[in-house]
Amino acid sequence: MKSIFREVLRRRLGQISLFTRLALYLTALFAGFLATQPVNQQNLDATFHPPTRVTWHDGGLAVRAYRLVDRSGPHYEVIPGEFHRVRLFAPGFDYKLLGLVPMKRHLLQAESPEARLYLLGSDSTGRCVFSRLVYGSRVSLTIGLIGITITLFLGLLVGGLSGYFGGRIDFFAMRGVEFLMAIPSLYLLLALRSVLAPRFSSDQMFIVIVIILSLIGWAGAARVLRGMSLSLRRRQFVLAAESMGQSPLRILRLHILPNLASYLLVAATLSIPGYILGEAALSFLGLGIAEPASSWGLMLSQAQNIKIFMLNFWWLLTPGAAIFVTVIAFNLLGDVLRDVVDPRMKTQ
Amino acid sequence: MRQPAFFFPGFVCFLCLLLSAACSRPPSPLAELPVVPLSEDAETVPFPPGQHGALFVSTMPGDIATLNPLISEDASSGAAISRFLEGLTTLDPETGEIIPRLARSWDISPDGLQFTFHLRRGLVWSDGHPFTSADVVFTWRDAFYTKQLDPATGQPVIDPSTGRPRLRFPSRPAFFQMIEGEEVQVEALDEHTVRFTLPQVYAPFLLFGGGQDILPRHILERHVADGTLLDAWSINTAIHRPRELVGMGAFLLESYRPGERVVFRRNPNYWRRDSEGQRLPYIERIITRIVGDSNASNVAFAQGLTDAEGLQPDNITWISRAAATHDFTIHELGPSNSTSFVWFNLNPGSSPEGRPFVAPHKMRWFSDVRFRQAVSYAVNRQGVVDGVFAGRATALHGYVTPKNRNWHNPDVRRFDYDPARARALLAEAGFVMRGNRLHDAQGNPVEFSLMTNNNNNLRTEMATVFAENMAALGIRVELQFIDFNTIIRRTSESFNYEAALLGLAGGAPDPYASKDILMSDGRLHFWNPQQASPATEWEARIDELMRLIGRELDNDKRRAAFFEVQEIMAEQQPLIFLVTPNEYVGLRNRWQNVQPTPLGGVLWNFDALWARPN
Repeated sequence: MKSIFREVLRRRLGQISLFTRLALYLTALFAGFLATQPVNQQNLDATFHPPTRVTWHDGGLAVRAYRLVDRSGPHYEVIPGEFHRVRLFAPGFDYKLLGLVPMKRHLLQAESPEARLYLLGSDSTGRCVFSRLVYGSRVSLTIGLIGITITLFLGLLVGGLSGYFGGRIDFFAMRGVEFLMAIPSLYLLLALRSVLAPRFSSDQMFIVIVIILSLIGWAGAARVLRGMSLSLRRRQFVLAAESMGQSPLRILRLHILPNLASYLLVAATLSIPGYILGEAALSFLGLGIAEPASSWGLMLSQAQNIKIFMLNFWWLLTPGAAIFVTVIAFNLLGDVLRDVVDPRMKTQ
Repeated sequence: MRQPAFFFPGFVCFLCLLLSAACSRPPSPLAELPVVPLSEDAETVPFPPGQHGALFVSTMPGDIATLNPLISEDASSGAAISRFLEGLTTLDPETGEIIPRLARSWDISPDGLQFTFHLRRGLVWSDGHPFTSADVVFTWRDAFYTKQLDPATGQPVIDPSTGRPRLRFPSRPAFFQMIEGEEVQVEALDEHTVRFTLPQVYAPFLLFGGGQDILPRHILERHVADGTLLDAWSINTAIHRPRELVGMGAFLLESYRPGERVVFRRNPNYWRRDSEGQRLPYIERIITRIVGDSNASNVAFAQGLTDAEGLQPDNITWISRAAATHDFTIHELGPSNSTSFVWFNLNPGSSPEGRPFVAPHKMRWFSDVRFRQAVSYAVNRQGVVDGVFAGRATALHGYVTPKNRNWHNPDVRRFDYDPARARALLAEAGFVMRGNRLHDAQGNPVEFSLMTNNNNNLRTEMATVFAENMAALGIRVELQFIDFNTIIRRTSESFNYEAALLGLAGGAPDPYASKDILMSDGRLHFWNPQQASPATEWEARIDELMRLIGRELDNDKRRAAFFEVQEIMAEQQPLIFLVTPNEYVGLRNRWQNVQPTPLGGVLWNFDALWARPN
């Protein structure tokens, strides 16, 4: 395992993707510290505020002051010569670091309450897009991990066992898998969403949906793993172990699982983006995360209003960029990992 | 050389097909309509004379479901029907008074029970058939009041639940035109005089009864005879036999393609003229495209593809940038008649399994008027207007929006944004803050769920603002964005909800039309519908006032009563009103005789609009 990690770090692409992911997950972990405003703090006098420029002014960091010129736009203008001081590691709203430690300090805070610190502008009710993006990363990034854990665990269990034992177990397991693959998941989701909606709050609802999705989605992984364990089963070292009288459990654990690990690692890395995009798509359809929680998909769906394009509120599309970067990072890492664990399939 | 020989017979066949297709298509339906000269009784409109022949392009938000006014339920069907059918009276778009339409004048007996309408003489239906009192009598007596007969005995079938005879064609307008379940007696005194005798005094009869669309007897008679009246004038008729859709309106259906477009053509026998004696309407054709998404139809207008469009308040800024390029004007008509409000479920009943609809401790909060008033004080209406609607809306304090100026009470109690006062009211009602959460006297944390429909972004934004305003009081609101039909099911059937945010559109021209909402036994009495007897004193008082509004003929007394209803509603806050969006209509500048009024909008004098033919 350690050597795989070292191998990945030796490659340029591996470094880039690994550090990007590290940065993303640190963002999610320290969302409260990075956010400049509480995730749901509205300011109805500053809706669709453009990103405030952070500059060096008078020996310190400062933001420009803005004036609302036309409310109906809304349209804002920089007030020339007026600045508000901002400070690093300054006290602000209360939050809990890592969900445990009560804290007040934030990376960036404005000194005076009149200052508008919108690093990525504000949305239709004057909430800070940057803060929502940072908090939203928690949902968007954990969702893939939860989903892939369930999928691979079930896939490994069913696929590995049915491939190893074969025969009747294999037959029934594979028919079960085919049955699951035949379920149209979008319709199932629509139905589940409307049936379960009153019972769960929106953030619980989303976890429920991801669990359901991965409970259907493990079938594909199970098929591949079954094929792999079927072929491993006929290899000499497994036959040798069997003839030495080792128990099936021991064989599975010591001989088959380590040989599947490389595939599992690559498959996991490559299918996490699927969950991230799935969350975005579901939230876009109104089936995923709902207000007042925040997620990248939800933020994108709120940006699909025609006026946002017509009036060029581009900062509301930044969640799209965040999804893009995350997905690319995961896919690159998946590619690098595949090169490392399977040198015969080198792509470069 | 072989190829053309092969090709030729096929080509001939193709030509034959084309020819036969051309022959089987019905000729333009209006080409051979007999045109009857204008009668002396035709109305002359007070607008400068114009020019015939222009084409009007518009959109509508949904497909039509039927063209039969008896079964029409949706807005698109209603709009299409109102193009070709008309009533005896209508509302004046400037003053809001009742003015003549197909009736020239009317007399009301001193006891208020008999209405005698004098019809305009010499008017004809669009197919040239004379319009007489027989059509009016047919509409009421045959289309509405025909009884269902028992085939064995020949006697009317009695409905066991109401004790009254069952109708042969049960329809919404038929029930609407009964007064407390009793029929109105309709008789023709002569060819141009109709008398209605009411079973009891019913104040809005001139508007609701007089405004009833009149149906053509010579067309629909046979459908009454063979019992197919409710199936007549369907989508199929519109597609294949548009000529059967005969009316007194300014336009006639020319063709209809489901999901695509509806085309109307001018009625050559319309009964209004301009000062030079030219027959209205000036517009030759109306092409209405069916566009499902209001954003898409707003874009179509901004690109100059349509002539007129109702514009959403949050789209005005970018649409107005195209005004010079595509030569249109955006008319601002002030507050609209649509409202938005939050209400709490006050239904004290329980589900069939014996579970109360609302948990008892929450019911205690919701039914405390101080709690509702505190919530109302905490709502930042002006913030919603400024932020969510970009200033293009008006804060709403009462049941009637300022648009309906005849019935709007401007002096109801206002709950302007005042969180301190909200906190004081909550403290008075026994609520206490613990940490940053509000708790009731028994120690329950105050929280409730609020549902609203998920397909309206302005409404979901209002809900998030509401939730933040509540959070400032220490109240946790869980937002549920669900589809509209589920909300309606939960608010009117299962009653399994705590609070909801919805809106009403199309404020009624007469207060009595609101009786289903305001009276405690009403189906749409949102917070606690269909009560056997009024649950509270103030609801009993509203019931009493509404009954008075129903039978009082004196307009001042009716207004005073309805003003009191609005005051009670504002004081008790069963519906916590939020805002009313302002109304905007875009219209291309080529149209002449445009005289927008707040009440009638931009297109109220549609038959007198004209433009140079394109």
